[in-house]
Amino acid sequence: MSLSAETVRRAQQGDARAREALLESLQNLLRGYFRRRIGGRDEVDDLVQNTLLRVHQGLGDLKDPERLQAFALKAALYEVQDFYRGRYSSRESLYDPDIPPESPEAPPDGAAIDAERVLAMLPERAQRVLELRAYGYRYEEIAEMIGTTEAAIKMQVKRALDRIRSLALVLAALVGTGALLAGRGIR
Amino acid sequence: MADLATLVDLWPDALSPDERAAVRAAVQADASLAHGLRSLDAAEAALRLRLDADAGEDRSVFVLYALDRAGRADLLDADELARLTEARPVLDALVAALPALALVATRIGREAAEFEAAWQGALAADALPASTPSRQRAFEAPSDRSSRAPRPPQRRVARALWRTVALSSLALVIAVGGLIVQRDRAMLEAEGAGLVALAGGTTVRTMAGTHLAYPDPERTTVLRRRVQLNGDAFFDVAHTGEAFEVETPSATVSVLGTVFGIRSDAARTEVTLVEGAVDVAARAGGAVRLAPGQQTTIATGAAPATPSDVDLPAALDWSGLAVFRDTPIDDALARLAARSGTPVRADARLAGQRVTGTFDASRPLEEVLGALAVPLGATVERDADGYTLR
Repeated sequence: MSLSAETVRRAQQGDARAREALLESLQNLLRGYFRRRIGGRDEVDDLVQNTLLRVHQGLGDLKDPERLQAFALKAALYEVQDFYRGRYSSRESLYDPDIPPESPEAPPDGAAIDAERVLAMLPERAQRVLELRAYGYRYEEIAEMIGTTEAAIKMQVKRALDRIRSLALVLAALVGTGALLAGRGIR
Repeated sequence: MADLATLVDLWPDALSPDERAAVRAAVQADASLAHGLRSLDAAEAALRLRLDADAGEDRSVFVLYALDRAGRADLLDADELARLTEARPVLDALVAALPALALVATRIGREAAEFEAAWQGALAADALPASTPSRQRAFEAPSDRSSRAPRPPQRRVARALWRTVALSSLALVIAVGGLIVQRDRAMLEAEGAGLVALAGGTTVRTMAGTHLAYPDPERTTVLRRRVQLNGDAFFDVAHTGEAFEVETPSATVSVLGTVFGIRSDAARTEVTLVEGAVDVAARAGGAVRLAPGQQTTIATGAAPATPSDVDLPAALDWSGLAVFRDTPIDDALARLAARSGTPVRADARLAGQRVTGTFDASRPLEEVLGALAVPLGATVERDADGYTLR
Protein backbone atom coordinates (compact mmCIF):
# COMPACT_ATOMS: atom_id res chain seq x y z
CA MET A 1 0.00 0.00 0.00
CA SER A 2 1.70 3.16 -1.14
CA LEU A 3 0.30 5.36 1.64
CA SER A 4 1.27 2.95 4.40
CA ALA A 5 3.64 3.60 7.28
CA GLU A 6 5.91 0.94 5.81
CA THR A 7 6.22 2.82 2.52
CA VAL A 8 6.92 6.02 4.44
CA ARG A 9 9.67 4.32 6.45
CA ARG A 10 11.31 2.96 3.33
CA ALA A 11 11.06 6.34 1.63
CA GLN A 12 12.61 8.03 4.66
CA GLN A 13 15.45 5.51 4.53
CA GLY A 14 16.26 6.50 0.96
CA ASP A 15 14.27 3.98 -1.06
CA ALA A 16 13.58 6.00 -4.23
CA ARG A 17 10.84 3.71 -5.52
CA ALA A 18 9.01 3.84 -2.23
CA ARG A 19 9.19 7.63 -2.31
CA GLU A 20 7.87 7.70 -5.87
CA ALA A 21 5.03 5.35 -5.06
CA LEU A 22 4.14 7.47 -2.06
CA LEU A 23 4.12 10.75 -3.98
CA GLU A 24 2.21 9.24 -6.88
CA SER A 25 -0.56 7.98 -4.58
CA LEU A 26 -0.62 11.35 -2.88
CA GLN A 27 -0.79 13.16 -6.20
CA ASN A 28 -3.88 11.23 -7.27
CA LEU A 29 -5.56 11.82 -3.94
CA LEU A 30 -4.71 15.52 -3.87
CA ARG A 31 -5.88 16.14 -7.40
CA GLY A 32 -9.35 14.86 -6.63
CA TYR A 33 -9.42 16.58 -3.25
CA PHE A 34 -8.49 20.05 -4.51
CA ARG A 35 -10.88 19.70 -7.44
CA ARG A 36 -13.71 19.06 -4.99
CA ARG A 37 -12.61 21.97 -2.79
CA ILE A 38 -12.03 24.78 -5.23
CA GLY A 39 -13.68 23.53 -8.40
CA GLY A 40 -12.16 22.66 -11.74
CA ARG A 41 -9.77 25.60 -11.89
CA ASP A 42 -6.27 25.86 -13.25
CA GLU A 43 -4.86 26.51 -9.78
CA VAL A 44 -5.65 22.91 -8.81
CA ASP A 45 -2.40 21.76 -10.40
CA ASP A 46 -0.44 24.40 -8.46
CA LEU A 47 -2.00 23.35 -5.18
CA VAL A 48 -1.17 19.71 -5.90
CA GLN A 49 2.47 20.44 -6.69
CA ASN A 50 2.95 22.75 -3.71
CA THR A 51 1.47 20.23 -1.31
CA LEU A 52 3.66 17.47 -2.74
CA LEU A 53 6.62 19.77 -2.25
CA ARG A 54 5.73 20.29 1.42
CA VAL A 55 5.44 16.55 1.94
CA HIS A 56 8.66 15.85 0.06
CA GLN A 57 10.55 18.43 2.11
CA GLY A 58 8.98 17.42 5.39
CA LEU A 59 9.26 13.68 4.98
CA GLY A 60 12.69 13.48 6.61
CA ASP A 61 11.47 15.31 9.71
CA LEU A 62 8.42 13.14 10.17
CA LYS A 63 9.25 11.29 13.37
CA ASP A 64 6.38 8.87 13.28
CA PRO A 65 5.64 7.35 9.84
CA GLU A 66 2.06 6.69 10.98
CA ARG A 67 1.56 10.44 11.04
CA LEU A 68 1.84 10.92 7.28
CA GLN A 69 -1.90 11.37 6.91
CA ALA A 70 -2.00 14.15 9.53
CA PHE A 71 1.02 15.80 7.94
CA ALA A 72 -0.39 15.67 4.42
CA LEU A 73 -3.78 16.84 5.67
CA LYS A 74 -2.35 19.96 7.25
CA ALA A 75 -0.18 20.65 4.19
CA ALA A 76 -3.28 20.44 1.97
CA LEU A 77 -5.30 22.69 4.28
CA TYR A 78 -2.51 25.31 4.33
CA GLU A 79 -2.50 25.35 0.54
CA VAL A 80 -6.28 25.78 0.40
CA GLN A 81 -6.07 28.73 2.80
CA ASP A 82 -3.25 30.26 0.79
CA PHE A 83 -5.41 29.89 -2.28
CA TYR A 84 -8.31 31.76 -0.73
CA ARG A 85 -6.09 34.44 0.78
CA GLY A 86 -4.85 35.34 -2.67
CA ARG A 87 -1.44 33.73 -2.95
CA TYR A 88 -2.28 32.23 -6.32
CA SER A 89 -3.96 35.19 -7.92
CA SER A 90 -4.52 38.72 -6.75
CA ARG A 91 -8.06 39.87 -6.12
CA GLU A 92 -9.17 42.47 -8.62
CA SER A 93 -10.31 45.67 -7.01
CA LEU A 94 -13.11 47.39 -8.85
CA TYR A 95 -11.39 50.70 -8.47
CA ASP A 96 -8.05 50.22 -9.99
CA PRO A 97 -6.72 53.30 -11.75
CA ASP A 98 -8.39 52.69 -15.08
CA ILE A 99 -11.95 53.23 -13.95
CA PRO A 100 -12.68 56.41 -11.99
CA PRO A 101 -10.77 59.24 -13.71
CA GLU A 102 -13.11 59.19 -16.71
CA SER A 103 -16.09 60.03 -14.53
CA PRO A 104 -16.70 63.76 -14.32
CA GLU A 105 -18.04 63.20 -10.80
CA ALA A 106 -14.88 61.54 -9.55
CA PRO A 107 -13.50 63.10 -6.38
CA PRO A 108 -10.15 64.88 -6.37
CA ASP A 109 -7.15 62.60 -5.95
CA GLY A 110 -6.33 61.71 -2.39
CA ALA A 111 -9.91 61.81 -1.11
CA ALA A 112 -10.29 58.61 0.87
CA ILE A 113 -13.41 56.70 1.77
CA ASP A 114 -13.61 56.05 5.50
CA ALA A 115 -13.91 52.28 5.38
CA GLU A 116 -14.68 51.90 9.07
CA ARG A 117 -17.64 54.26 8.77
CA VAL A 118 -18.91 52.38 5.73
CA LEU A 119 -18.79 49.09 7.64
CA ALA A 120 -20.50 50.64 10.65
CA MET A 121 -23.49 51.70 8.55
CA LEU A 122 -24.11 48.17 7.26
CA PRO A 123 -26.22 45.48 8.95
CA GLU A 124 -24.43 42.56 10.67
CA ARG A 125 -25.23 40.07 7.92
CA ALA A 126 -23.75 42.30 5.24
CA GLN A 127 -20.61 42.74 7.35
CA ARG A 128 -20.17 38.96 7.53
CA VAL A 129 -20.46 38.74 3.76
CA LEU A 130 -17.83 41.44 3.29
CA GLU A 131 -15.53 39.72 5.80
CA LEU A 132 -15.77 36.46 3.88
CA ARG A 133 -15.26 38.26 0.57
CA ALA A 134 -12.16 39.89 2.05
CA TYR A 135 -10.93 36.45 3.08
CA GLY A 136 -11.21 35.37 -0.55
CA TYR A 137 -14.38 33.31 -0.82
CA ARG A 138 -16.77 33.56 -3.75
CA TYR A 139 -20.50 34.23 -3.37
CA GLU A 140 -21.29 30.57 -3.93
CA GLU A 141 -18.94 29.52 -1.12
CA ILE A 142 -20.14 32.28 1.21
CA ALA A 143 -23.71 31.08 0.72
CA GLU A 144 -22.66 27.56 1.67
CA MET A 145 -20.82 28.76 4.78
CA ILE A 146 -23.67 30.94 6.00
CA GLY A 147 -26.25 28.32 5.13
CA THR A 148 -28.26 30.19 2.56
CA THR A 149 -28.52 30.65 -1.19
CA GLU A 150 -26.20 32.54 -3.49
CA ALA A 151 -29.14 34.74 -4.47
CA ALA A 152 -29.70 35.71 -0.82
CA ILE A 153 -26.04 36.63 -0.40
CA LYS A 154 -26.09 38.80 -3.50
CA MET A 155 -29.23 40.44 -2.16
CA GLN A 156 -27.26 41.37 0.99
CA VAL A 157 -24.64 43.01 -1.18
CA LYS A 158 -27.24 44.85 -3.25
CA ARG A 159 -28.90 46.16 -0.11
CA ALA A 160 -25.57 47.26 1.31
CA LEU A 161 -24.78 49.10 -1.89
CA ASP A 162 -28.22 50.71 -1.92
CA ARG A 163 -27.88 51.75 1.70
CA ILE A 164 -24.54 53.43 1.09
CA ARG A 165 -25.90 55.17 -1.96
CA SER A 166 -29.08 56.39 -0.24
CA LEU A 167 -27.15 57.79 2.68
CA ALA A 168 -24.73 59.43 0.29
CA LEU A 169 -27.56 61.04 -1.67
CA VAL A 170 -29.28 62.31 1.47
CA LEU A 171 -26.08 63.80 2.81
CA ALA A 172 -25.16 65.26 -0.55
CA ALA A 173 -28.41 67.20 -0.41
CA LEU A 174 -27.59 68.40 3.11
CA VAL A 175 -23.90 69.23 2.92
CA GLY A 176 -23.14 69.54 -0.77
CA THR A 177 -21.75 66.94 -3.16
CA GLY A 178 -18.17 68.14 -3.12
CA ALA A 179 -17.80 67.80 0.62
CA LEU A 180 -19.46 64.40 0.60
CA LEU A 181 -17.22 62.97 -2.06
CA ALA A 182 -14.22 64.31 -0.22
CA GLY A 183 -15.22 62.02 2.63
CA ARG A 184 -16.17 64.58 5.18
CA GLY A 185 -19.94 64.37 4.97
CA ILE A 186 -20.79 61.32 7.03
CA ARG A 187 -21.06 61.81 10.75
CA MET B 1 -31.11 54.13 -9.91
CA ALA B 2 -29.97 51.21 -12.00
CA ASP B 3 -32.18 48.13 -11.60
CA LEU B 4 -31.28 45.41 -9.13
CA ALA B 5 -30.17 42.85 -11.69
CA THR B 6 -27.56 45.24 -13.04
CA LEU B 7 -26.35 46.25 -9.59
CA VAL B 8 -25.26 42.81 -8.51
CA ASP B 9 -23.40 42.38 -11.77
CA LEU B 10 -21.35 45.43 -10.89
CA TRP B 11 -19.66 43.73 -7.95
CA PRO B 12 -19.07 40.24 -9.27
CA ASP B 13 -16.54 37.74 -8.03
CA ALA B 14 -14.20 38.47 -10.92
CA LEU B 15 -14.25 41.01 -13.71
CA SER B 16 -14.00 40.22 -17.38
CA PRO B 17 -13.03 43.00 -19.77
CA ASP B 18 -16.70 43.29 -20.81
CA GLU B 19 -17.74 43.66 -17.20
CA ARG B 20 -15.16 46.37 -16.59
CA ALA B 21 -16.54 48.27 -19.57
CA ALA B 22 -20.09 47.87 -18.27
CA VAL B 23 -19.07 49.15 -14.83
CA ARG B 24 -17.27 52.10 -16.35
CA ALA B 25 -20.34 53.04 -18.38
CA ALA B 26 -22.75 52.73 -15.45
CA VAL B 27 -20.47 54.67 -13.14
CA GLN B 28 -20.08 57.55 -15.55
CA ALA B 29 -23.82 57.96 -15.57
CA ASP B 30 -24.31 57.81 -11.82
CA ALA B 31 -22.04 59.42 -9.23
CA SER B 32 -23.74 57.84 -6.25
CA LEU B 33 -23.17 54.43 -7.80
CA ALA B 34 -19.50 55.26 -8.19
CA HIS B 35 -19.35 56.30 -4.56
CA GLY B 36 -21.20 53.18 -3.44
CA LEU B 37 -18.94 50.77 -5.29
CA ARG B 38 -15.85 52.60 -4.16
CA SER B 39 -17.09 52.36 -0.59
CA LEU B 40 -17.65 48.62 -0.81
CA ASP B 41 -14.20 48.16 -2.25
CA ALA B 42 -12.64 50.28 0.46
CA ALA B 43 -14.49 48.37 3.15
CA GLU B 44 -13.32 45.06 1.74
CA ALA B 45 -9.74 46.28 1.43
CA ALA B 46 -9.76 47.46 5.05
CA LEU B 47 -11.01 44.07 6.19
CA ARG B 48 -8.30 42.38 4.19
CA LEU B 49 -5.67 44.50 5.88
CA ARG B 50 -7.02 43.55 9.29
CA LEU B 51 -6.94 39.87 8.38
CA ASP B 52 -3.37 40.13 7.12
CA ALA B 53 -2.09 42.22 10.02
CA ASP B 54 -3.66 40.32 12.88
CA ALA B 55 -3.22 36.82 11.54
CA GLY B 56 0.31 37.87 10.86
CA GLU B 57 2.92 36.05 8.82
CA ASP B 58 1.88 32.73 10.26
CA ARG B 59 -1.39 31.92 8.53
CA SER B 60 -0.89 28.27 9.32
CA VAL B 61 -1.63 28.79 12.99
CA PHE B 62 -5.21 29.71 12.10
CA VAL B 63 -5.58 26.29 10.49
CA LEU B 64 -4.34 24.69 13.70
CA TYR B 65 -6.79 26.84 15.65
CA ALA B 66 -9.63 25.69 13.40
CA LEU B 67 -8.66 22.03 13.74
CA ASP B 68 -8.62 22.41 17.51
CA ARG B 69 -12.06 24.07 17.47
CA ALA B 70 -13.33 21.16 15.41
CA GLY B 71 -12.15 18.78 18.12
CA ARG B 72 -9.19 17.56 16.07
CA ALA B 73 -6.31 18.55 18.31
CA ASP B 74 -5.14 14.95 17.78
CA LEU B 75 -3.90 16.04 14.37
CA LEU B 76 -1.42 18.48 15.92
CA ASP B 77 2.06 17.52 17.06
CA ALA B 78 3.70 18.89 20.21
CA ASP B 79 5.31 21.89 18.48
CA GLU B 80 2.06 22.85 16.81
CA LEU B 81 0.14 22.60 20.07
CA ALA B 82 2.68 24.89 21.69
CA ARG B 83 2.39 27.42 18.87
CA LEU B 84 -1.38 27.28 19.10
CA THR B 85 -1.40 27.83 22.86
CA GLU B 86 0.75 30.90 22.42
CA ALA B 87 -1.35 32.33 19.58
CA ARG B 88 -4.77 31.47 20.98
CA PRO B 89 -5.50 34.78 22.79
CA VAL B 90 -4.75 36.78 19.64
CA LEU B 91 -6.86 34.46 17.49
CA ASP B 92 -9.76 34.49 19.94
CA ALA B 93 -9.70 38.30 19.82
CA LEU B 94 -9.54 38.26 16.03
CA VAL B 95 -12.56 35.97 15.77
CA ALA B 96 -14.44 38.21 18.19
CA ALA B 97 -13.63 41.23 16.03
CA LEU B 98 -14.38 39.49 12.73
CA PRO B 99 -17.13 36.96 13.48
CA ALA B 100 -17.05 35.51 9.97
CA LEU B 101 -13.76 33.86 10.94
CA ALA B 102 -15.76 31.43 13.04
CA LEU B 103 -17.44 30.32 9.80
CA VAL B 104 -14.02 29.96 8.17
CA ALA B 105 -12.83 27.81 11.08
CA THR B 106 -15.89 25.58 10.70
CA ARG B 107 -15.22 25.23 7.00
CA ILE B 108 -11.61 24.23 7.68
CA GLY B 109 -12.90 21.54 10.04
CA ARG B 110 -15.07 20.20 7.21
CA GLU B 111 -12.13 20.32 4.81
CA ALA B 112 -10.14 18.18 7.24
CA ALA B 113 -12.93 15.60 7.43
CA GLU B 114 -13.15 15.47 3.63
CA PHE B 115 -9.42 14.94 3.37
CA GLU B 116 -9.62 11.98 5.72
CA ALA B 117 -12.49 10.51 3.69
CA ALA B 118 -10.43 10.90 0.52
CA TRP B 119 -7.49 9.19 2.24
CA GLN B 120 -9.67 6.23 3.20
CA GLY B 121 -10.82 6.01 -0.42
CA ALA B 122 -7.24 5.96 -1.63
CA LEU B 123 -6.38 3.18 0.83
CA ALA B 124 -9.34 1.18 -0.48
CA ALA B 125 -8.16 1.67 -4.07
CA ASP B 126 -4.68 0.48 -3.11
CA ALA B 127 -6.13 -2.60 -1.52
CA LEU B 128 -7.66 -3.88 -4.76
CA PRO B 129 -5.75 -6.99 -5.83
CA ALA B 130 -3.10 -6.14 -8.40
CA SER B 131 -3.41 -9.45 -10.19
CA THR B 132 -6.99 -9.11 -11.52
CA PRO B 133 -6.78 -9.11 -15.31
CA SER B 134 -8.76 -5.88 -15.79
CA ARG B 135 -6.47 -3.91 -13.49
CA GLN B 136 -3.35 -5.17 -15.18
CA ARG B 137 -4.84 -4.48 -18.59
CA ALA B 138 -5.37 -0.88 -17.54
CA PHE B 139 -1.67 -0.27 -17.39
CA GLU B 140 -0.59 -1.82 -20.65
CA ALA B 141 -0.56 0.19 -23.84
CA PRO B 142 -1.89 -1.92 -26.73
CA SER B 143 1.37 -2.02 -28.65
CA ASP B 144 3.34 -3.15 -25.62
CA ARG B 145 1.32 -6.18 -24.79
CA SER B 146 4.04 -8.51 -25.96
CA SER B 147 6.90 -6.63 -24.32
CA ARG B 148 5.06 -6.07 -21.04
CA ALA B 149 5.75 -2.43 -20.08
CA PRO B 150 7.10 -2.47 -16.53
CA ARG B 151 5.43 0.72 -15.33
CA PRO B 152 1.98 2.14 -16.08
CA PRO B 153 1.88 5.40 -18.04
CA GLN B 154 0.63 7.40 -15.04
CA ARG B 155 3.70 6.49 -12.99
CA ARG B 156 6.04 7.64 -15.71
CA VAL B 157 4.27 10.97 -15.89
CA ALA B 158 4.36 11.31 -12.11
CA ARG B 159 8.08 10.57 -12.16
CA ALA B 160 8.74 13.12 -14.89
CA LEU B 161 6.69 15.72 -13.05
CA TRP B 162 8.47 14.89 -9.83
CA ARG B 163 11.90 15.24 -11.37
CA THR B 164 10.94 18.72 -12.55
CA VAL B 165 9.89 19.72 -9.06
CA ALA B 166 12.97 18.20 -7.45
CA LEU B 167 15.34 20.01 -9.80
CA SER B 168 14.05 23.39 -8.78
CA SER B 169 12.33 23.79 -5.48
CA LEU B 170 10.38 26.72 -6.88
CA ALA B 171 9.26 24.90 -10.03
CA LEU B 172 5.53 24.50 -10.51
CA VAL B 173 4.09 22.24 -13.16
CA ILE B 174 1.29 24.28 -14.66
CA ALA B 175 -1.29 22.58 -16.79
CA VAL B 176 -3.18 25.50 -18.28
CA GLY B 177 -4.54 24.23 -21.56
CA GLY B 178 -2.99 20.82 -21.00
CA LEU B 179 0.47 19.42 -20.64
CA ILE B 180 0.98 16.57 -23.09
CA VAL B 181 3.82 14.23 -22.43
CA GLN B 182 4.61 11.33 -24.71
CA ARG B 183 5.51 8.29 -22.68
CA ASP B 184 5.68 5.65 -25.36
CA ARG B 185 4.83 5.58 -29.01
CA ALA B 186 1.30 4.33 -28.50
CA MET B 187 -0.13 6.33 -25.60
CA LEU B 188 -0.14 10.06 -24.99
CA GLU B 189 -0.95 11.75 -21.70
CA ALA B 190 -2.81 14.99 -21.13
CA GLU B 191 -2.93 16.94 -17.89
CA GLY B 192 -5.36 19.69 -17.07
CA ALA B 193 -8.23 21.37 -18.89
CA GLY B 194 -8.39 20.94 -22.65
CA LEU B 195 -10.06 19.37 -25.63
CA VAL B 196 -8.52 16.17 -26.92
CA ALA B 197 -9.36 14.86 -30.39
CA LEU B 198 -8.98 11.14 -30.82
CA ALA B 199 -8.78 9.22 -34.07
CA GLY B 200 -12.14 8.69 -35.75
CA GLY B 201 -13.80 11.91 -34.60
CA THR B 202 -14.17 11.25 -30.87
CA THR B 203 -13.61 14.30 -28.66
CA VAL B 204 -12.87 14.44 -24.94
CA ARG B 205 -13.23 17.69 -22.98
CA THR B 206 -11.14 17.44 -19.81
CA MET B 207 -11.47 19.66 -16.74
CA ALA B 208 -8.62 21.24 -14.77
CA GLY B 209 -6.77 18.82 -12.53
CA THR B 210 -7.65 15.85 -14.75
CA HIS B 211 -5.30 13.24 -16.11
CA LEU B 212 -6.07 11.41 -19.37
CA ALA B 213 -4.01 8.74 -21.16
CA TYR B 214 -5.12 8.06 -24.75
CA PRO B 215 -3.88 6.39 -27.94
CA ASP B 216 -1.90 8.63 -30.26
CA PRO B 217 -4.38 9.76 -32.94
CA GLU B 218 -1.53 9.90 -35.46
CA ARG B 219 -1.11 6.16 -35.39
CA THR B 220 -2.99 4.49 -38.18
CA THR B 221 -3.58 1.21 -36.40
CA VAL B 222 -4.96 1.16 -32.89
CA LEU B 223 -5.75 -2.24 -31.50
CA ARG B 224 -8.43 -1.01 -29.18
CA ARG B 225 -10.15 2.34 -28.51
CA ARG B 226 -9.31 2.82 -24.85
CA VAL B 227 -8.43 5.74 -22.59
CA GLN B 228 -7.56 6.04 -18.91
CA LEU B 229 -9.13 8.81 -16.89
CA ASN B 230 -8.47 10.18 -13.43
CA GLY B 231 -10.61 13.27 -13.09
CA ASP B 232 -13.60 14.83 -14.83
CA ALA B 233 -14.26 14.76 -18.58
CA PHE B 234 -17.09 15.01 -21.07
CA PHE B 235 -17.03 12.53 -23.94
CA ASP B 236 -18.53 12.67 -27.44
CA VAL B 237 -17.66 9.30 -28.93
CA ALA B 238 -17.89 8.72 -32.66
CA HIS B 239 -19.76 5.59 -33.68
CA THR B 240 -17.37 3.32 -35.57
CA GLY B 241 -18.95 0.00 -34.73
CA GLU B 242 -16.10 -0.73 -32.36
CA ALA B 243 -16.31 -0.51 -28.57
CA PHE B 244 -14.73 2.51 -26.82
CA GLU B 245 -13.56 2.10 -23.23
CA VAL B 246 -12.77 4.54 -20.43
CA GLU B 247 -10.92 3.20 -17.42
CA THR B 248 -10.94 5.05 -14.10
CA PRO B 249 -9.53 3.97 -10.74
CA SER B 250 -12.79 2.23 -9.85
CA ALA B 251 -14.61 1.37 -13.08
CA THR B 252 -14.48 0.56 -16.77
CA VAL B 253 -17.05 2.33 -18.96
CA SER B 254 -17.71 0.66 -22.36
CA VAL B 255 -19.58 2.53 -25.06
CA LEU B 256 -20.60 2.53 -28.70
CA GLY B 257 -20.91 6.03 -30.20
CA THR B 258 -22.36 8.06 -27.40
CA VAL B 259 -22.24 11.27 -25.35
CA PHE B 260 -21.56 11.12 -21.60
CA GLY B 261 -19.73 12.69 -18.68
CA ILE B 262 -17.48 11.03 -16.11
CA ARG B 263 -16.29 12.35 -12.79
CA SER B 264 -13.68 10.24 -11.08
CA ASP B 265 -11.12 10.25 -8.32
CA ALA B 266 -9.46 7.59 -6.21
CA ALA B 267 -12.60 6.99 -4.16
CA ARG B 268 -15.37 6.79 -6.74
CA THR B 269 -16.51 7.19 -10.35
CA GLU B 270 -19.77 8.83 -11.47
CA VAL B 271 -21.05 8.28 -15.01
CA THR B 272 -23.88 10.35 -16.55
CA LEU B 273 -25.23 9.36 -19.97
CA VAL B 274 -26.69 11.89 -22.39
CA GLU B 275 -27.33 9.73 -25.45
CA GLY B 276 -26.35 6.31 -26.75
CA ALA B 277 -25.65 3.38 -24.43
CA VAL B 278 -22.92 2.61 -21.95
CA ASP B 279 -22.00 -0.44 -19.91
CA VAL B 280 -20.28 0.39 -16.63
CA ALA B 281 -18.26 -2.37 -14.95
CA ALA B 282 -16.75 -1.94 -11.50
CA ARG B 283 -13.18 -3.07 -10.93
CA ALA B 284 -14.44 -4.88 -7.88
CA GLY B 285 -17.07 -6.75 -9.89
CA GLY B 286 -20.62 -6.08 -11.05
CA ALA B 287 -21.86 -4.14 -14.06
CA VAL B 288 -24.84 -2.00 -15.08
CA ARG B 289 -26.12 -0.58 -18.35
CA LEU B 290 -27.15 3.06 -18.49
CA ALA B 291 -29.97 4.47 -20.58
CA PRO B 292 -29.87 8.11 -21.76
CA GLY B 293 -30.60 10.49 -18.88
CA GLN B 294 -29.33 8.05 -16.27
CA GLN B 295 -26.42 8.15 -13.84
CA THR B 296 -24.56 5.59 -11.75
CA THR B 297 -21.84 5.90 -9.13
CA ILE B 298 -19.17 3.30 -8.41
CA ALA B 299 -17.35 3.58 -5.12
CA THR B 300 -13.92 1.97 -5.16
CA GLY B 301 -14.25 -1.62 -4.03
CA ALA B 302 -18.00 -1.74 -4.64
CA ALA B 303 -20.38 -2.69 -7.43
CA PRO B 304 -22.06 0.06 -9.48
CA ALA B 305 -25.14 1.70 -7.96
CA THR B 306 -28.48 0.98 -9.68
CA PRO B 307 -28.85 3.58 -12.44
CA SER B 308 -31.09 6.50 -11.55
CA ASP B 309 -32.73 9.13 -13.72
CA VAL B 310 -31.19 12.56 -13.27
CA ASP B 311 -31.87 16.11 -14.39
CA LEU B 312 -29.22 16.22 -17.11
CA PRO B 313 -28.49 19.96 -17.12
CA ALA B 314 -27.95 19.92 -13.34
CA ALA B 315 -26.01 16.65 -13.30
CA LEU B 316 -23.59 17.85 -15.97
CA ASP B 317 -23.24 21.45 -14.83
CA TRP B 318 -19.64 20.69 -13.73
CA SER B 319 -18.56 20.18 -17.34
CA GLY B 320 -19.08 23.83 -18.22
CA LEU B 321 -21.53 22.66 -20.85
CA ALA B 322 -25.27 23.23 -20.82
CA VAL B 323 -26.56 19.78 -21.74
CA PHE B 324 -30.22 19.66 -22.69
CA ARG B 325 -32.09 16.57 -23.79
CA ASP B 326 -35.76 17.08 -24.42
CA THR B 327 -35.64 19.79 -21.78
CA PRO B 328 -38.64 22.14 -21.54
CA ILE B 329 -37.64 25.56 -22.89
CA ASP B 330 -38.42 27.35 -19.63
CA ASP B 331 -36.14 25.01 -17.65
CA ALA B 332 -33.36 25.43 -20.18
CA LEU B 333 -33.59 29.21 -20.14
CA ALA B 334 -33.81 29.25 -16.34
CA ARG B 335 -30.57 27.30 -16.15
CA LEU B 336 -28.78 29.64 -18.53
CA ALA B 337 -30.16 32.64 -16.65
CA ALA B 338 -29.03 31.30 -13.27
CA ARG B 339 -25.57 30.62 -14.61
CA SER B 340 -25.11 34.06 -16.12
CA GLY B 341 -27.07 36.10 -13.60
CA THR B 342 -29.10 37.68 -16.39
CA PRO B 343 -32.86 37.05 -16.77
CA VAL B 344 -33.92 35.15 -19.89
CA ARG B 345 -37.52 34.65 -20.95
CA ALA B 346 -39.34 32.84 -23.75
CA ASP B 347 -42.20 34.37 -25.65
CA ALA B 348 -45.57 32.63 -25.17
CA ARG B 349 -45.35 31.46 -28.78
CA LEU B 350 -42.57 29.07 -27.73
CA ALA B 351 -44.46 27.57 -24.78
CA GLY B 352 -44.24 23.80 -24.68
CA GLN B 353 -41.14 23.67 -26.89
CA ARG B 354 -38.29 21.39 -25.87
CA VAL B 355 -34.59 21.81 -26.33
CA THR B 356 -32.01 19.16 -27.18
CA GLY B 357 -28.37 19.95 -27.60
CA THR B 358 -25.07 20.57 -25.87
CA PHE B 359 -23.98 24.18 -25.56
CA ASP B 360 -20.73 25.63 -24.30
CA ALA B 361 -21.99 27.60 -21.31
CA SER B 362 -18.69 29.45 -20.95
CA ARG B 363 -19.41 31.35 -24.17
CA PRO B 364 -21.21 34.72 -23.86
CA LEU B 365 -24.89 34.26 -23.09
CA GLU B 366 -26.00 35.96 -26.27
CA GLU B 367 -24.03 33.46 -28.34
CA VAL B 368 -25.48 30.46 -26.52
CA LEU B 369 -29.01 31.82 -26.87
CA GLY B 370 -28.39 32.44 -30.54
CA ALA B 371 -27.41 28.82 -31.06
CA LEU B 372 -30.37 27.61 -29.04
CA ALA B 373 -32.79 29.81 -30.98
CA VAL B 374 -31.91 28.43 -34.41
CA PRO B 375 -33.77 25.07 -34.27
CA LEU B 376 -36.71 26.84 -32.63
CA GLY B 377 -36.98 29.31 -35.47
CA ALA B 378 -36.73 32.06 -32.85
CA THR B 379 -34.79 35.31 -32.53
CA VAL B 380 -32.94 36.67 -29.52
CA GLU B 381 -33.89 40.13 -28.25
CA ARG B 382 -32.05 42.10 -25.63
CA ASP B 383 -33.54 44.77 -23.42
CA ALA B 384 -32.77 46.44 -20.07
CA ASP B 385 -34.25 43.45 -18.27
CA GLY B 386 -32.27 40.73 -19.97
CA TYR B 387 -33.02 38.55 -22.96
CA THR B 388 -36.18 37.28 -24.62
CA LEU B 389 -36.53 34.52 -27.17
CA ARG B 390 -39.37 35.21 -29.59
